[in-house]
Amino acid sequence: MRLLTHNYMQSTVKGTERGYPLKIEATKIEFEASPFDAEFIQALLPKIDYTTLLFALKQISENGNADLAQTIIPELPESIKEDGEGEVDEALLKKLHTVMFDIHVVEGELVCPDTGRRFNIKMGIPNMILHADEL
Amino acid sequence: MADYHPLRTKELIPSTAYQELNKKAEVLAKSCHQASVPSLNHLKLADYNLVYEPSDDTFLMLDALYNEFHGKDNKQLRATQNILEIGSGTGVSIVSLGKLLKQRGHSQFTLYATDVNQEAVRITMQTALENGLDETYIKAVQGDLAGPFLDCLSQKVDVLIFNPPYVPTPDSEVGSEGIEASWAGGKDGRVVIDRALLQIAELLSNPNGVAYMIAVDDNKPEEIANVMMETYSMMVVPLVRRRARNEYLTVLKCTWVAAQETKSTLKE
Repeated sequence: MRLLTHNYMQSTVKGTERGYPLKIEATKIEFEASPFDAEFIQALLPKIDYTTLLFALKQISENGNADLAQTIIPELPESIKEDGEGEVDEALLKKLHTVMFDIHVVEGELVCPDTGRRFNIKMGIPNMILHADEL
Repeated sequence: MADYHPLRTKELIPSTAYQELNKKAEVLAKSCHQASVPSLNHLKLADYNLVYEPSDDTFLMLDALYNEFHGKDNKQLRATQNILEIGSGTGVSIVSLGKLLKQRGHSQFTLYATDVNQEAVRITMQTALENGLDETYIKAVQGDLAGPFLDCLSQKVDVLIFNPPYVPTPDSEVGSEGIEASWAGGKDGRVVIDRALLQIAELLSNPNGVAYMIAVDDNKPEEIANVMMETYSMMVVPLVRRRARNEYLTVLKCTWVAAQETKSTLKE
């Protein structure tokens, strides 16, 4: 599960006030570099919740992944600054790309901030299937 | 167990008007371009024990999607931003649309895919990769119908693709997370379809969102159309229709009434 995917996911269990953003308890993280496209990232920025991305990054960096965090995971600024033409500095775009696409949560759990309901992540795939009584 | 109907339900015969729509859809299916199937070279025969192997219904959906999108102008294509496939299986349907958009130079779209079957989610992502949509384009998770995307995509889905489990079976067969989930549809093959219809009404962007869903005649498509019109003011019509072995497959096209430019209606 990439952090970009996490950005769009929430718990839809019946009775949940707001199951977003999901907390991440990662037990296994992998890093896999992927092709960078500056224009694509630039266009993607308005569509993501940046606060949630920062939140997800923080979650990943804790939970015993501190060494991985220090070596590979870049630091992101509190907010994204655009220049006069609304464009973002390319170095920052590269960092954003790394955070959104190259960090894979392979094993772990997602936790609903509202109800505490846990969703398993196995082989990089989060299982969001609800039980019959949660629909 | 009393829900199982081994014989085709005969009591609901489509109205004359609806039969006319069906005939048009059959003509279109014969004349439209046969879309190419995205590469599945990464799969072996054994994988088709895990995930639904593309079949006549899949190919009909690919033809429908090609027919609908290849003629759109750049402005219309750019307006296609969020594409969701429920039950993506091998991923060929959503990947074929993604490829088409990319070939036309459109890249600002987001693909979402869900499947109750974990293997299908994994395979969907591989299919995207195998077909040049590297994983930057597709967000795939294991979920039921729209899954965790239901809230964030509410009223934002421009294209929804759904090849549902449409086979009439005992209700008890519905709800597995294995390969049976790809066909078991309960009474009239409608149990999963009916739940999805609710979500479709919640998800489609207004006014131009469109959903493409496969149905067989056992699913009583005209009844689906009537219900959607009465409940949500959504128009459901057969788009392409083709005979496959002993049944007819139809791709139903669902849109908001407000967006209708065509003259076809279901009124007699």
